[in-house]
Formats: sequence, structure tokens, C-alpha cells
Amino acid sequence: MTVRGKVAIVGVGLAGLAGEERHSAMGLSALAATRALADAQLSLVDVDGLFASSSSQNFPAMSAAEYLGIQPRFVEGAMVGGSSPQQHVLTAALALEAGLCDVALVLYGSNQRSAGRSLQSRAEPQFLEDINAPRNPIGSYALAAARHMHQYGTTRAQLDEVIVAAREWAILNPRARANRPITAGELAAATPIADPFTSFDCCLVTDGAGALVLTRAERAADHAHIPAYLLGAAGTVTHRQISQMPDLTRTGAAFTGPAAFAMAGLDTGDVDLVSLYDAFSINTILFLEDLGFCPKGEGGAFVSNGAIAPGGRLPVNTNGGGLSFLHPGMYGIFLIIEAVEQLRGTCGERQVKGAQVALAHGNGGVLGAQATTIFGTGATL
Amino acid sequence: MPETASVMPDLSPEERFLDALEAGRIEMQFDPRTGRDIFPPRSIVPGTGEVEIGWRDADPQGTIYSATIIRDREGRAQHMLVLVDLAGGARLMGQIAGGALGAAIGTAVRARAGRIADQPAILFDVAETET
Repeated sequence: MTVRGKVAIVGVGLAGLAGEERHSAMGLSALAATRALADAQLSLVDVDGLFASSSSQNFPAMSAAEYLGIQPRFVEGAMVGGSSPQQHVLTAALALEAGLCDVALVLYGSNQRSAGRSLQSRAEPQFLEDINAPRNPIGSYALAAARHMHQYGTTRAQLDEVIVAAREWAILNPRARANRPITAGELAAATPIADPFTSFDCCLVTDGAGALVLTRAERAADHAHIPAYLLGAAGTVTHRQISQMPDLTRTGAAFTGPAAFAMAGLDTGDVDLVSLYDAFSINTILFLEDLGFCPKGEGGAFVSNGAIAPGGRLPVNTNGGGLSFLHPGMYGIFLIIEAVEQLRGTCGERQVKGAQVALAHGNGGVLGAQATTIFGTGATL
Repeated sequence: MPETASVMPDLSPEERFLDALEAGRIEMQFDPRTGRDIFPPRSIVPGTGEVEIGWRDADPQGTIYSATIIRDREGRAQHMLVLVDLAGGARLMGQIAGGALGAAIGTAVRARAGRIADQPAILFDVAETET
């Protein structure tokens, strides 16, 4: 059995953007959920499959069901960090296809900025790790960046290309938090945090919530918008703490990318736009390599000369990414929302013209969880 | 001689490791079938599920696999955070002892039991090069 083309995202919703911060994490999630349902011309009473993740709650699916006032007949709360929504979409496809639910709601929300919390999400301590004051997650990702630079000659200027490209896309996204041009002087003068990173290499700390509504493909066309059909998906886990990552220059995306493309019957050349979980600048380079858009070690060269910025050869993180759009604790669901809106053709100035295939790749923990989803319009079925 | 742990030890593997570290030794689990270090300590051999696990004093020789300097808000260096590949196969996170900041990836180091903020920790000294 394949899930290719069997389900589609028919509704998306956002909440907690600038000016809408006065809610709890669950309050923002619920607002995003009702907006996604309205977007799909459905309501809460239609939801019978619930998929929730959280960076601040231990029991996100239970909290979500109670807050929304629903009793789902299929429930999923797999916690694999920022890749949870990608994993939830895959599980939702299986549940929908098996008839275990008919309307699947995937949601995530956080009030991280309003609550005054740091970049660190809720996490259990790792053995003999905190004693070293690694300033997680920044320190762990900095170690990955340092190793990539050592092993492959990746440069500071190439990391800057990732930062500037994300910001140039964000400038085209009216919802983006950080939408002022970055100058070369600002990059050069930035305060170092964990070598080679400065604050520009690190994602934003914002509030935000997102929700997705999925149905089986046969009823997807009944909804208001162009459906985003799930063409391929795969997820994996390689480690929990950075010292246990087998190779700091190669992530689990080296498995999930090819697996998702195989399910989709597509390859990298078929993809019109790519959304990659850019919690840190090095992520974009790592995932472009591991997903197969360029050979291992050549990600720095790949992103150079504006190649992933507006007008470049591959549109990457067209919403501005975690670096410049938003990053409320975990960012995975917003990668999927951007893919859906691009396939609908509703992205305004940042719209990738004629987009038919979009890839959204989630990342969790300190590069330990990876999950790839590939979506397409009806023309790709 | 390395010993092989019984299935029902008096201490959990984590407790035994920390007790040894407190006493000034890095005692490392290893897989008797492959001879490779196991870290963090655990109740089974990862990947195979075997419960027969050995303990031995860690070979302190290692090489820096990656390194970053952790800084404060003003950018002032706090300490050098490293991942070190030990000769026995384990990869450990730790700090370079004594506030040294210049150790690069590939530098030879030696692991020893030490303390950070009065808690037992593994520290790394840059190995003296032969002249």
C-alpha cells in the first residue's frame, strides 16, 4: 500500500503572529485550528482525528482535545520535536486511509516569546550533558556547523548567504517578524554566541500557532481551495543528544529524503520549492545536501551567489523561515503551511510561479529527528 | 582485567559511572563482543540488546571531533565546548580544562575525571606533544 495521493491538506490556519500574542500556547493552537477548519469549510464538530505536539506541554493531545471540546476517535501525540507535524501528517494519512478518522486536525502552538522562555524547549536532562553548559540548542548546532566547516571547507560567507536569503524572502512576506534588510556590516559586526554562530545564525523566538486539516483525496476537491495532496513522506530518528549523533555532517534526512521521493515517484529536479527547518543557518546547508539537492559537502557552494534567495535557481524557505519569519519553540508545521499556500498560488509577492510540487522538511531536537513531506497539486496525481 | 557486569548490579549503570567519576576515575562500559566503549551508560548493549556488558577504566586518549566557544551576551568567551572521540570508541561532550580556548578540531586530548561547578565532570587536557 502507498499513501501517495490518498490524502490532501484542505485547510490551513495561523495564529499568534504580531499583534495577537495575548494567548496561552493552547489558546493560540485553538485559534489556528478554527481558522484551518474555516479555511476548509468545516467546523470542530467534523474533527474526528486529532494530532498535537507541543514544546511546553507533556500531554499535548489530551490538552488539545479538552480545550477544543472534542472527543476524537483517533489521537496521536508523537513527540519528535520540530519534525512532529511532518510525522503527524504521515500518521494522519494512514489513519484516514484506514478509515480510523475522516477529518484529521494537526496542530501546534506556542507563546514562547510572550511567556519569556528561551530557545530551549521542554526537555529531559541528558547524562553528563548540562554540566558542560552547552547552551542548548545553540551549542549543539554550533558543534555541527564547526564540524561541517572543518570537514568540507564551508565558510562564514556561505552561512551568511543562508541568512540573507531567508531575510530577502521574509521581506516579501507581510507576516514575517524580521523584515528589515540585513547589511554586510551588521553581519560582520554581529556578537558571537557560540562559534561560528552569531545571533543572525539562530532562529527567532516568537509566539505562533499553526493547524492543518486533512481529508481523503476523494473529498478533497469539495473544499474551497486547491488541495495539497500528500505525495510522499518519511521520518526517522538518529539520536537524542548531540554527542550521540553518528556523523555531525550527515542527518537522518539522508534517509527520509530518498524515502519520501521514492514514495512520491519524483526526484529533486521535480521540486518547485523547498521548505527546510532552519533553526540555525547550518541546517539549510545540511538538509540541501542530505535531501539530495547537491552532493555532501557542497551545500555551501550550492547556496552561494543568491541561489536560494528570491530570483535564485531554487526557492528555499520562501516564507522567510525560522530565521526571519517566526519560530515559536518548534517550527515544523509552518513549513507545511507554506508548502500548501504556495501550491494554492496565494503567496502574493513571494509566490513561486506555477508551483506544482513542494517539499517541507522538519527537524527535531538537536538534528536527531528528521521527517520529509512532499506535496503536489492535482496535476501531479 | 576488565570485569563483566552481572545482570543484577547493586547500582544502576548511571550510578556506577557517577560514583567512579566522583572517586576520580572514568569507568566506561564496553561491549565484550566488539570491545567498543558504550556511552552513556545503559542496561543493554545498544543495537543488539545483549545484557552482558563489561566495565573498564577508559582509555583517556582522544581527539577533538568538534569544538565551539560558548560566549555570554556580550560575546565574551565562557569556555570551550568539545566533542571528543576516545580511543575506545565513545564520543563524549566536555570542556577543555583550565579555560584554554585555542584547541582545534583534530587536536589530541586526554580525558580525566574533574569537577565543574563542584559537580563531577569529564574534563579534557590538550595532550602534550612529543618533542
